[in-house]
Amino acid sequence: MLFALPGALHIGLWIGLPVVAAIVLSFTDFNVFKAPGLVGLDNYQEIFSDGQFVHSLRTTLLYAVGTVPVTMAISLGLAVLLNQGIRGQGFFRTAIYLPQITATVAVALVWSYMLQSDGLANRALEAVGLGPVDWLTDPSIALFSVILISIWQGIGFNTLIYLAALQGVPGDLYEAAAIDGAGAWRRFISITVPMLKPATFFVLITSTIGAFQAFDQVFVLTRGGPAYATTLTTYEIYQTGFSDFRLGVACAQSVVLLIALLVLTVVNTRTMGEARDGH
Amino acid sequence: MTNLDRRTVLRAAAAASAGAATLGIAGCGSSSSGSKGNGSVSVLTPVFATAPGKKVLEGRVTRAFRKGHPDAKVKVDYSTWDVLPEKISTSLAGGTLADIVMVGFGWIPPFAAKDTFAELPDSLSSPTGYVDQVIAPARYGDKTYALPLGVDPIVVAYRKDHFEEGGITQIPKTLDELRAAAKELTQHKAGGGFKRAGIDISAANLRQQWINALDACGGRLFNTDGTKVLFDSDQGARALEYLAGLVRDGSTSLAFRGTQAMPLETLRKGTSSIMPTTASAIGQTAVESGGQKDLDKIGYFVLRDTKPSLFVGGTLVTVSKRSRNQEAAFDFLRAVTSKEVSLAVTDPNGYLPPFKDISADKSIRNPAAPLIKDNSQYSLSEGGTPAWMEIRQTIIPVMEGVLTGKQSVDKALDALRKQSEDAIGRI
Repeated sequence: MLFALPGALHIGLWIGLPVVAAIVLSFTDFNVFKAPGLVGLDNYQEIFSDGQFVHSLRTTLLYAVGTVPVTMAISLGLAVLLNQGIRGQGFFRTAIYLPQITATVAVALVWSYMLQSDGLANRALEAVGLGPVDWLTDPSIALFSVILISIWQGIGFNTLIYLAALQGVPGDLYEAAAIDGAGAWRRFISITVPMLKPATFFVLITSTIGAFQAFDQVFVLTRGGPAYATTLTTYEIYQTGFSDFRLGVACAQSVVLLIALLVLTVVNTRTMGEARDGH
Repeated sequence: MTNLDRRTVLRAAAAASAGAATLGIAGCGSSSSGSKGNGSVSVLTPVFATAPGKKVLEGRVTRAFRKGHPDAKVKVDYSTWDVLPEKISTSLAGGTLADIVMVGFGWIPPFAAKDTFAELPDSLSSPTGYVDQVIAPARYGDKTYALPLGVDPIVVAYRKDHFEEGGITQIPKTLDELRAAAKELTQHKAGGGFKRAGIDISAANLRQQWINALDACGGRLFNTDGTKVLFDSDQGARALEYLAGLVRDGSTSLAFRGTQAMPLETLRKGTSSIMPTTASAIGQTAVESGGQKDLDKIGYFVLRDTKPSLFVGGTLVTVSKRSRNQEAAFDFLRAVTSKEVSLAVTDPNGYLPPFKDISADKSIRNPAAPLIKDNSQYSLSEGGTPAWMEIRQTIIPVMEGVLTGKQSVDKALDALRKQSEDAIGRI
């Protein structure tokens, strides 16, 4: 009991209390200038009738769909490659993990230079005879650019998890399969993928939550623009709370995001959990 | 639950939330807090963050302030314009707003309407010697809440040699002429992209450029008391159409820009011919290039259509109404807005002092200063409504929709009007 106290205090004070406070404040007109007063469900009605918040939810969903599966697939592929005992393995592992430990703000700044009109990306396109692309200023391309950068940055962590999980797959399974004549692809599908299900479950949950909480890259790269094309829900909440000073509404938006994440996590747990248990 | 009980619970929830936010910020080492006792004051500032600025604020200003408050401490929280609203809101929620707060033009009505800043005492409330137009943004109703520290107008910089090559002998006198000049001077690469953009619209805030053009067309953002939207007018549409037209003509694009680290970059490199830009960018370039020689090829003019218009941004110094040391805070405000300090802090950063008699002082190295002084009667600033903090952030995304061809001018102005009216309705 005593050992659990520091952790319980930490969770209660730094997570529990703000969450409860946010839920309570979501039913108020709290705006930092005056004492909050109850407004019932007004904030919730407003955010769902406000096309901007709904648009941000849709954009976030697109962002999550664009980043999570692709990041997971690339990470799995890289982890399998790095698990083959290739030369320079240490270097490659470090290189792949490096974006993860680099500050997102620094990463985003470097990418913004690379993606500007006369940046590295457009110069590379020009070198092969292709026209320039407005990576961050064309509303139909900007979200794709942000997704691309997020994938690049998210690969390191997921690869590490997969790599650790791969170390735990018994080698004799592969040997037995090879003796039975299974090829590399068959061994991957029938042994590696099923054995990695717990890791896949973990990566899926953390990546989904991470995608719904993405903020830094948008804040630095696009400020939610152009024309709201990259306004993720977290950025919308930030704007409502800290630029509009409408913290009651921002809390309601946060509660909706929290519920969306809970629902997604439960769905993931049910589907992946069943698959993991072999049903 | 009685009303009192309910309020107590809500206050506690607000305090818990604000406390967490404030402690979180304190964890980042950048908290600001109100001060108590002995005349000590805290300052929240988005300017002065450069080495020369810090030297002035923590040296000269603090020394002058301490003459009347020998035991006082001055605690400074350096911020940036981008995160200043966030700093103000979290510190307000936590009850730790700094005693002295430096804000932008247009920010006084929103905060004064919500009783955040203190009205200046009689000794400061009728300031003389300032350029008239820079005092207006410091007022709300008939009261004065701030004094200006420095101004940062937007002018149009252009390459004289490009104009000469293009046979453009006169400075554009209307938005149409400016658009035509930009189109004339544009050079595209064979495979797409710009060899030279006719105009670079990235060097000044897009919202401010629209407001500048709106004023040049004779339009206004709001009525006098800020309760009615006026920008959804023919003039508002013409101003937005001018900017959208520049992109549609192929004279520029939203993607065309220099690096933030080098002001006036595309103009100096000759990869653009015209650039609406801030005086601070011009001033910094002049200071960093060791004089005006490097800028000889660059000329300046004021945007005009039916009339000239000089958009003026800048910094206002105000005092928190919740300050426990208001008297000391006002003394600090007096020290920091003195002519001597204003000149010392504005010139190295390219800003201009707000005073009539030194606004074109020979010691000021900003080559656009004489033009700005001559056109000061055409000054306007943004804002003008207590809902401005909410409205200001919605303008650029809507403009981007128009500039990228995703939305028509009329629909954009209609959306903006609706959002603005909603915000004004919540005042």
